Amino acid sequence: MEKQQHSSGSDSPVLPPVPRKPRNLGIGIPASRQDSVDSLDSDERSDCMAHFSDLISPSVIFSLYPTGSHVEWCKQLIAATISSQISGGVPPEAITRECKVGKKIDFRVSRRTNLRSLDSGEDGCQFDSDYELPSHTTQIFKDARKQAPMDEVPLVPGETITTTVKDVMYICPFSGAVTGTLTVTDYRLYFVSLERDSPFILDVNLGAISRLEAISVQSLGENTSGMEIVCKDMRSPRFAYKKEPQSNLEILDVLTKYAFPLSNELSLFAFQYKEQFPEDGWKVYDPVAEYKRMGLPNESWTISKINSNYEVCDTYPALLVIPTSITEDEVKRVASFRVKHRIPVLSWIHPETQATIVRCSQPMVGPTDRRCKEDEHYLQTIMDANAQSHKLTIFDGRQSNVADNHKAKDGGYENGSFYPNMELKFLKIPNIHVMRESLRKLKEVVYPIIDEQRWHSAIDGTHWLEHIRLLLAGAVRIADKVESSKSSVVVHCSDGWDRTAQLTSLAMLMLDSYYRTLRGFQVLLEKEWIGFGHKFAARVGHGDENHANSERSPLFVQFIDCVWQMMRQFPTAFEFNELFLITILDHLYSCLFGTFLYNSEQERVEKALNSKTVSLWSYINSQPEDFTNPFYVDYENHVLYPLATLRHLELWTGYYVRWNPHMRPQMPVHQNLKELLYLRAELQRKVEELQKEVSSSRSVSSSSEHAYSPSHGGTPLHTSV
Amino acid sequence: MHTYQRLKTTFEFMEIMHLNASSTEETLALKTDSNKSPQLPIKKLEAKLLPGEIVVNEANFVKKCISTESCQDDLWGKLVCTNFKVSFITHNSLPRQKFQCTHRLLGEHDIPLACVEQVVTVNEVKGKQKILGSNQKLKFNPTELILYCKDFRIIRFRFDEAGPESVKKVCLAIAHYSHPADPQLLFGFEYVGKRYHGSTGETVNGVDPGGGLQTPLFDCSSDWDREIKRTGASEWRVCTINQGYFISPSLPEFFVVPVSLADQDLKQYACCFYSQRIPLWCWNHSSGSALVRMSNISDPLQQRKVEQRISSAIIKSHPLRSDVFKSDLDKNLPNIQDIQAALLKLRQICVIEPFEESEEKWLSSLESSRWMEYVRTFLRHAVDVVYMLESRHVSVILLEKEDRDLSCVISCLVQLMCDPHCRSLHGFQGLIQKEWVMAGHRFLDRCNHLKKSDKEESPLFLLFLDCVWQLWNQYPAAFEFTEVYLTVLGDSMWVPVFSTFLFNCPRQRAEHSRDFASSKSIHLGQDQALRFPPVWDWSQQFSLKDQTLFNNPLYVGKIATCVQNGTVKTFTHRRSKKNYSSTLRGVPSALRNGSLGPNDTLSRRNSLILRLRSDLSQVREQQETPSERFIRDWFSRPIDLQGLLLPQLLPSHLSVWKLYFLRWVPEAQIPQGGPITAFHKLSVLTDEIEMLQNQLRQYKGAGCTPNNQHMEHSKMYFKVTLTPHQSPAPPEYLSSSFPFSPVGNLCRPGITGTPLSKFLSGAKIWLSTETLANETI
Repeated sequence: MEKQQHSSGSDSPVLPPVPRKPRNLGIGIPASRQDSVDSLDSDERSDCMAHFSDLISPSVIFSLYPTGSHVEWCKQLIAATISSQISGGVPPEAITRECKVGKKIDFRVSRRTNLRSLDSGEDGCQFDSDYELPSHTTQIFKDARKQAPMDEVPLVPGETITTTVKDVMYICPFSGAVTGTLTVTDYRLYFVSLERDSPFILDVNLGAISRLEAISVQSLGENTSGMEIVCKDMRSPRFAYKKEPQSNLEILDVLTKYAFPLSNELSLFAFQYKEQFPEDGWKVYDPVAEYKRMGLPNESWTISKINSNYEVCDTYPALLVIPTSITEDEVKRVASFRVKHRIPVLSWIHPETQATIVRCSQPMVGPTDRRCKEDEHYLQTIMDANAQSHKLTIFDGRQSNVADNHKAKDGGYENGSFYPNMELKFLKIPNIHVMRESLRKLKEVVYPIIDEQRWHSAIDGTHWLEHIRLLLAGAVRIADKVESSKSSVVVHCSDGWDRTAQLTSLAMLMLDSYYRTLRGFQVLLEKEWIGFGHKFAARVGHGDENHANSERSPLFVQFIDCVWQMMRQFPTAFEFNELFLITILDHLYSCLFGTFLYNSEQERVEKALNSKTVSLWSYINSQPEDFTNPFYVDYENHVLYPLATLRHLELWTGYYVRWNPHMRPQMPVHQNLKELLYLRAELQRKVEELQKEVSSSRSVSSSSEHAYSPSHGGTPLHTSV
Repeated sequence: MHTYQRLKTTFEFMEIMHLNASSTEETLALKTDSNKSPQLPIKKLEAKLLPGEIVVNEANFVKKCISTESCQDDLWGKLVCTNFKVSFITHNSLPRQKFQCTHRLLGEHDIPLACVEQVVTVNEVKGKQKILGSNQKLKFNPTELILYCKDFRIIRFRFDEAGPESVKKVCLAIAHYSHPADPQLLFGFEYVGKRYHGSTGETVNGVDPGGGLQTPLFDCSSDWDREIKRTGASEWRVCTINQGYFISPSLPEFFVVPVSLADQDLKQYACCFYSQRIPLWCWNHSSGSALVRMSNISDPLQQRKVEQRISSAIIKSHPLRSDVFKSDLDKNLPNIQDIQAALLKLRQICVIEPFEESEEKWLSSLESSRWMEYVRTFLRHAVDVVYMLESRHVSVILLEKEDRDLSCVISCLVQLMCDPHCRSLHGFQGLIQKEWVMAGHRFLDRCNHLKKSDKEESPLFLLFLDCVWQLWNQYPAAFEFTEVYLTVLGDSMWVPVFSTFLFNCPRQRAEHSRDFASSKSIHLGQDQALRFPPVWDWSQQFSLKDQTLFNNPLYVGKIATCVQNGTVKTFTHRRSKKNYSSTLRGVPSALRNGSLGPNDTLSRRNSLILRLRSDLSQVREQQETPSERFIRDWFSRPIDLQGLLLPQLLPSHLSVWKLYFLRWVPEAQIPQGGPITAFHKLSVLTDEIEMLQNQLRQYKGAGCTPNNQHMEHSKMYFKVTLTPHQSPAPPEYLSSSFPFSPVGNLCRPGITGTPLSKFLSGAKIWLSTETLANETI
């Protein structure tokens, strides 16, 4: 294996370029190409935004990153095909600028092009060599192109090809059909066509596949079979291929086997994946450190090991924060009164007021209005732990009639007469089945064809944004209760792992600026979602062929959508960017990383995920600059209340409609911002140089006193451009 | 002048009445309410008047409602009606906002009469309300006055403690004066007329049209000459036959025609056109194709002949003798009534309907208002015209019956997309002068300043601004101005002082000012008309500091890069812009303009599609038109912000112009959020860049020490702090409504369930005078 060193383009003349550690690049890769073009002056420098990638040996594909929206567009598509990012080593970057004093431009070369994921091949991101490249680089490109067989499949470490079929037709809903070669590995489906003037590539992670279906393609002749690949990520590519009588293994069978490994007695690909990253994402979340950040334990709250063997509650994490004064016995009684033994535990504590967000499942009140003294006492203790308020608000995420139904079936909600000083509020959020249906309708609206005339009413008809609104509105009420009324809150729904996770994590995102940083957000997910047992395996259906399973529901997608909505309303308040959110969602399905696998901490420990799989955060944190928002300013201690109104909520087209080539995103302003940041850095350097000259020629101090000192001035540069 | 005289006597009479009545009432009110109402030094509550402005009527102890729910925050003060505005003067102050832009002509609570759309008086006790027009009577004592404003505000006053007689009079006065019977009663005349009486002549009101302004007004032939030169339209000439408006009443005195058409021919053709409007040249594309606007030919017998002559003259003026393409706007675009209806519906859902109730069906209501659809239609049509000019290299004639409405929008949009000069501040302002003011858009009728005919009213200019905003929103760095600028420009339509928005055509302006001058014995001297300031004289309305809100940091920042190497490259025309564009956008300029034939790749690709289409039922029929191909091809290339710009036109690409339409809605205001927070960061950054450049210049120059002159010259509203260790969080006063504030500017009448709100939400559209006058519940 060959290792490869990429010199990273950095924006800042002050800071050294971020060192990128050598990356394991899999099979026989040549050293990457680097073509430096010397002596371009500063004006010309940015002309050279071309960005090359080369492919696994011996093939080399060069691809070009155009500017502005196209870049962003590409990035988002790239996010869909992790393989390219991972194996490429170098992330897609919009503009590569080398700002060291030497003034040279670096045509960075990464191993793979990322643009191939374009379903939309012919729009936007395709390669247009004659058009844009300065002549010398064009030449290089052409040479490379000649020698490159482009149907080579890029593989991530640990990935193996299972079958390759030639003369397969991809029926693109946007640009017509293309014929090419389809390869299925144990991780992806990879289709490449060299028919058109630029290679057309479709890359689908098998993990994203929800359902495989044979479809009729009679119009193409009798010996032709068709298949539709219905994906969880809002697309459904279709293929047509010749039936091959001599081959026993139909492509559909192979696909089925590897797309649904758990149904076919195989293991998830994450256990095969062998990439190594400089950062270890499994170390991102340390519960004790996180509780310590919040000032815990304190006199009222303790970090308890009562669940260290998952005996109290098998869907909770080993470490729980519970009131100090509650005895082990009491905890067990409370556990027996709460559904799935999910007792009230602390999620977040206000650093000043000590008001807390506590989460749990519904109490098992039942039709007979059962009581549990210990549970009543427990909630009273939670209220008493906060001296600022003599009230406790219980937010039940459900609609009240649904809660009543649960009550009739042994569940229910806290009865006000047994829980004095507590008010119960229903947040009226529909259940997982409604959400699943809503997203299904949304897919019908956005894929593949958009009805322009009825766009808005069609979106209304899915109620997707209405549900987003309800969630955000609920979370705002929780955050406001904690912040403004200084009162502690208890949040639950039925089991306390779906709506509860959505609500508590959104409220925490509003209240605590730490969670709005790149690392903080990872901690938030690890804690509120992964730790507290959101059933990712069941909700996503990793590796499982039972697509109709009613346990599946896009709750986590919905949560990420809410975060995106908040980012839209507060464009400078989040350290991470849209690409980060899309990347998370792509790996929710991909089964490449261990992060979102299984339903609970207990299962993850059993399967030794930490040692056998790679964390998504390893990948993210090894190249944080790609996921950083250049507009970010620290709203320290600011509570953000997003407006939960349809006036401000928008359909996240950059995620849901990204496969449609017409839905090109608009030119992102942050591109312009980065240009300005770059310019400022340049100027600062020049001023500094001149200042040195001035001060060396004259030993006058007065001038430098007044002069703006660039060395400590300015916002910290976000070095990724 | 009869009307004017009559009105004048009326109001003098009313003034006398008012003096008698109010004095007694005031004492009365004082006695009864002294314990309730705050003790205010009444004498200090006086309206600030502009030159030429007089108080018509006023009422004391009026409450201005601040929020719908509670009256706790309501302000006490005096309601004054002048011949210019409705003024509310108070000593109570709203929580002072640091950013408050002070309008130089209007106070915080003032509404120009021209901005008042509807005056509704209410008597809650009797359950009556009436919409007041001019010269009307009021049979009940109003307890409440609601002013619906053209800029989407709804202002509400309560009269619980005020004297009923003075209240009645002030309401009637507001209704009367917001319905002026004659254009010369619009305040601008008095205001501008004053300058001719003052002994210091030149400086009164600071009116200085043209002088010191960099914006060409296109009211003289030299402005046209420059435009011809700028666009390289060498086969076109300035025509002066309409001097004195002898040929066409609605054309400007100077306009541009093909060189091959002699004055004599033009005079002959003129009578065939609607309102003798000879076709007008708008602009030349760099390929030599011209954009021309033309009215319908009224004489059917002559139609063919005249059309042919005009076309062949245009062809002759094309360097390649390319053909002419006629674009019939009336057939392809919504008419002015459709547009008006769409705005009314949009207003209904934005500010009238209770917020919560309209939430669930917001997108559907938005769609059914059709406003966004129309914005899209206009943009799309402009793109089609751009395609003809840019790709087919033919000249385009915009054909519209009167050539005074839809063509204004389309011709401007085409130029904005093609010509980067139009995206600079002065270029944009010149564009509006050229295509709206001089071409004779009926601002007076479309704004309905006289409230004479609702059928003539249409928000065409606002629609245009919305289209510009969509472009701006998609390519913010391509424009020198900000959305605040666009919003303020839209609002300026309702300040009846500017030559820009007061008249239907240049001739009307000239005539009215002559009449007014003679009736007021004003000697115009050298001026041909009263010197109304154009709206472009922004210091009429805002301080220099506030005007920096118009400067787009992204654009300014880019200029900075040009200046960087010592040579200032100006923003004149695209053809000189190649170097510039490459500094940041990274497009090798040599390859930029068409060396790659877009068709050589496309034909291959297309043939593939065709081959497959025949045998693939699954593939959607895709008959790609050449213009679609042109658009797609444009999008597949990197964007040159100083070149052609095409908008993305899927419904999802267009957004509601929230700053304009939702700024008064308190529930829609994002505290400390919104796009402004990003703008803030950019602004600070650009300011810092400017400062660094100043320093560099100083070092390079005399080598002297840098000073802090920077602060005064900065183009940015938000400035860099001198010790920035960390990027500052946006100031707390920022919100998505910045620099406007919904506080006190939107009071939806009544809470749900009260008679009035029922009455309002029952009305399908904005209250119309016909249906609701005298209606009671």
